[in-house]
Amino acid sequence: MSCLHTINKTSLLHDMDTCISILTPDDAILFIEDGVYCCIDDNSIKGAVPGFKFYAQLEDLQARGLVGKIRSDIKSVNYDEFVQLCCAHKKVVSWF
Amino acid sequence: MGDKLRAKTNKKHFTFLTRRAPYGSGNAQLCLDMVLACSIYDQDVSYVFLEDGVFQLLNDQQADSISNKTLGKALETLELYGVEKVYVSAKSMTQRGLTPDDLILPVEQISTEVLSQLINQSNCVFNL
Repeated sequence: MSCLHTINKTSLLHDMDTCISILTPDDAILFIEDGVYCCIDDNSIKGAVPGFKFYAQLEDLQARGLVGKIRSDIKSVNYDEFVQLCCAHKKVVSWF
Repeated sequence: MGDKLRAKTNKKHFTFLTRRAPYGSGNAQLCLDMVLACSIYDQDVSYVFLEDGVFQLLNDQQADSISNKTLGKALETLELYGVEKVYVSAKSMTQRGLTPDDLILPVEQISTEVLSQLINQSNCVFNL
């Protein structure tokens, strides 16, 4: 069952280990709001196996000055693509 | 006369510790407002960015994309308001993989020892 996980806190406020440890190959993580700061920090997603899909909310990256500063394996998505991601997965789990 | 004059010119050293990222909560903006208010009343102000607060200093912020005011732009005006003692925690920068090139203004990096001294020397410390 595919699942979209959304993370909206910085990595230090938010322990991501639980979320990452339960990912299945069909799952994806979307970083939104302050969660996008996780995308510049290799340590916060070190537990993830390469091949998992990571996304970051483009508008939140722009607001925080993070465009061009994030890991290359994280795709940025706009609000329309955010909605498409939600529809493409069976469930959405918010790690707020 | 002496006492009254002293009361009017009484200058205290305020240290502000700002520890949150700029837009996820109101803490960063509130701290900036307090810093500016203190500075306008001619107080001795130190402004320290630590933990996630260092993210406030990132260059190229465009908060209009999330219908917000860009905090980084406001921080650029600190010198105009007479806030000259602006520091950033070197440890917090390193933990987040940031370098001075990523920041919107030149800020002195300080160690935790220096931060500890700064807090000890202050009359009043705000932490948010």
